Amino acid sequence: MKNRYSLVLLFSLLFLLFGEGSVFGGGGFALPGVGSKALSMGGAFRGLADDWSASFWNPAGLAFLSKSEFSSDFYTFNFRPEYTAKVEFAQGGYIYSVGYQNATFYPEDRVLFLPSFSGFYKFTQLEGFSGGIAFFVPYKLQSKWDIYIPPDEYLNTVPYPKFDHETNILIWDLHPSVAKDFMEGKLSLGAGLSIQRAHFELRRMVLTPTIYPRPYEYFPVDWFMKTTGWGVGFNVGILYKASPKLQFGFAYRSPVDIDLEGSLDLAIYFPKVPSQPMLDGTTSRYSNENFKSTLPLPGDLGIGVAFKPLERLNLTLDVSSANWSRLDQLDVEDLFGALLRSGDTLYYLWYADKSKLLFKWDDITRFSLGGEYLFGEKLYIRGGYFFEKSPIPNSTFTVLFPDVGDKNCFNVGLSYRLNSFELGYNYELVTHKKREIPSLIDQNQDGLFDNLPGEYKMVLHSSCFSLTYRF
Amino acid sequence: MKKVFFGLLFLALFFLVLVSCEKRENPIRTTYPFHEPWYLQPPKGGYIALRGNILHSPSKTAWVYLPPQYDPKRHTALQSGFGFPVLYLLHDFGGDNETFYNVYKVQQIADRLIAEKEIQEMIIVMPDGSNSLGGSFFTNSDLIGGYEDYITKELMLIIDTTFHTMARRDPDTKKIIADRRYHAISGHGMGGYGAFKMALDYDTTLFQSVSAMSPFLSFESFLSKEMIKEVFRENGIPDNDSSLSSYKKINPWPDSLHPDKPITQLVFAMAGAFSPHDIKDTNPKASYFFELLKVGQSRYGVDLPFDSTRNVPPGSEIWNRWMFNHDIKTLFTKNPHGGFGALKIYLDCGDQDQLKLYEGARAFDQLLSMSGVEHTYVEYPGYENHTAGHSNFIYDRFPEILKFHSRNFPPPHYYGYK
Repeated sequence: MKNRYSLVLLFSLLFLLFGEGSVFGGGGFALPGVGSKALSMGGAFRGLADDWSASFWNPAGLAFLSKSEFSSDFYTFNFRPEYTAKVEFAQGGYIYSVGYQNATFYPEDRVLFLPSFSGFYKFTQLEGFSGGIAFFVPYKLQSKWDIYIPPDEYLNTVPYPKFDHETNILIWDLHPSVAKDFMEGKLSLGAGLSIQRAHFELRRMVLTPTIYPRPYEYFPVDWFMKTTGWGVGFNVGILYKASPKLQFGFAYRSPVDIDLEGSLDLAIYFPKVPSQPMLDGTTSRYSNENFKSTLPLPGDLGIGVAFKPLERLNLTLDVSSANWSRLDQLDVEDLFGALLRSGDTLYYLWYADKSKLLFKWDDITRFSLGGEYLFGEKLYIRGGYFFEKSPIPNSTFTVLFPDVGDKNCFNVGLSYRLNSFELGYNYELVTHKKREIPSLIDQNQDGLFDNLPGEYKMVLHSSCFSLTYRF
Repeated sequence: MKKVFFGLLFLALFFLVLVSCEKRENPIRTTYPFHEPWYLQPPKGGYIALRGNILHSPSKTAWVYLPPQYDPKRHTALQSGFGFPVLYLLHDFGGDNETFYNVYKVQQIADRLIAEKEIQEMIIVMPDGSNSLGGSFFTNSDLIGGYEDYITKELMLIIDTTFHTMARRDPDTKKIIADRRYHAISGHGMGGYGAFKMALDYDTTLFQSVSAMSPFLSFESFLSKEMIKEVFRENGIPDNDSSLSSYKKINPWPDSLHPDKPITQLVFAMAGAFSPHDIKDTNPKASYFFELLKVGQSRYGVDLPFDSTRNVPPGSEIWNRWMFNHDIKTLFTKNPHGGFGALKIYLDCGDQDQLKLYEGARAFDQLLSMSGVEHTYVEYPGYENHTAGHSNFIYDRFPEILKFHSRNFPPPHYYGYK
């Protein structure tokens, strides 16, 4: 009994040490989680962690798998962001527009499909030892927006790209894990290696200040970064069964730095002003095929409790936190310098220091609740909920990362066991609190605006189908 | 149990398909076909009012914006009872007839506002008031030519006889009779001055409405002591140098030591318009005479209203010529009741105008109000990093100018108007 309280105390102390600013839990461009069962329970899974997705939530849970298993999940995500643009300057009752329509825009609507696979083996000859590998996708975002056109009077002869803001992020994780139980099955420890491969692609429109009067006081620059990269991290976890009805889980995931390599393409679009020979309505382009940068992804820390008040009922509770504040900025390129090198004719642009893709994101905490009830002998019905804030401040918020506001996530799921197989399904609805951004902000004073003002709304529908084979 | 599971799964799939299929439509971008303006060639031999001037050719071209419904094949001049209203648009100092067309994209703005039914269709005439001094101030001057007459007595007649305006030919006298209700005049800076000057000189006989963007309305406000000092500085004369010899070195021509002389050039252009030296005096000796051109032994130039001490001498004859013959505020004060007749009046100015023209505009606004003359004055601000200067917000002000004149033209009488 004394040991039990000591462990609970240890977990609590560790959580307090890492504080609010460490653990992971979605947000930003992270997906809500992995595993049909864990998602169905709102991601409150660190204290239970009794299927393959423990390798993501709390690898210590793998030690308590009753059998070896192969599992495959299939996810669908339907992001439904909405942006009512208000990109203009207002002063003394006058409104000055800069090429954005005051209208409501949607990205190209599409459903994203993702798979995950896993195989874990219960080494019966090595008591309480399990090991295996999982493949899942913790980060995914894809959207294309058509929200900008140069002012009518621009008369640019080279058309501006139809899609001016694009996000295409896919980071998959190849995740070998091991776990072992101790203290006669009361305690388990687990660890995993996270080998991550990223495809990170962003396109945005940068309003670039000039010395010319309106409507040419900003030239649009098409900024397109296309990179891939590798990163390595790890996660560790502890699971403690305080009694047959109560267990605690603790999990830590390390931050990962992805070394990005790829290309950066810039194109400045000039208006056609016959009296200014250099403003000929064409473009000036710059391309760097050896572009490099580092993408710092957050670590996370979470604690979970699982309680079994009835034989057929499991209740779970998690608190976790992700340190998105690591994502401060992405060093990119000397934007104007790059364009200057392409022709030495753009002296009329204001010169700025090395331009950066500014994030300045904040740490976030997630509160999750989950429940599972067994009907009969084969059918599980599950429900879950989590609450989480957005890590993105108004000063750097754009359509690129539509994590709009405080999220309320509702899940329902079920699974059915058929001999050695289990079929599962989860539906998730994430509603975001509306966000209103009143004005353009140049957060780092480099002459370029870092946000897109207006009104944002967002809803996410997602589903997960799973098939598990146990042997 | 199996049936329950599969039933629930089916419902889930159905719901998934339902929420995934709805495609949302983005707003449709409206694009308008823009019309290239008409290039109006000068009459053979140039304009009569500009002939014989010493500084510039009398041949002046103009751009003429023809609205979308204007069909040059169908719309011919002098069709009684039908026609388009005409706005005369005068450019600023340093510009020419291309400025509104090339820089401020007047034709695109007009096309857009017409397509959006914000204004009625109108012809916009952009004449050339430039000369070798940078601008004529659209004023009649022995030195630079009769620019006011060129607009009011020649160009307007040519427009009425070339395009489908509301002018008609009197069947008895065969004379062209313009319909002033369908004429308006506007301008920017120097052009704003010209618009008000012509409106004062002709009041209700030529125009229905007058407007101006950042106009020169009060010489007293503009030619301040600080502005005069700037002229000396631009010519490399220190503030403490009041010698006549230094003063006489002032000239509007940039050189390697003094490449930028915007205020000096402006003052010389004004002097060319308002105080040209008597061209009969071909060998001037006066200290205030500044030579601009030498033809044989004859010297031509302007008289500047300030002296080497950077002051306008009290009772200066030159200054009096500026004020009593050309200053809009003074001219209006001389005849406040008849000044503008029933003309509709609109003027605006940026609150950070580099030439401080807002001071003159405010004073004129007050004067009009005190005299009971109905008008609209707008002093507009800029926004962060973009203060509202003399020229940088014309793109935003011009639509207001068009709307103002459109409102004040009578209902249109051109074909196909709905």
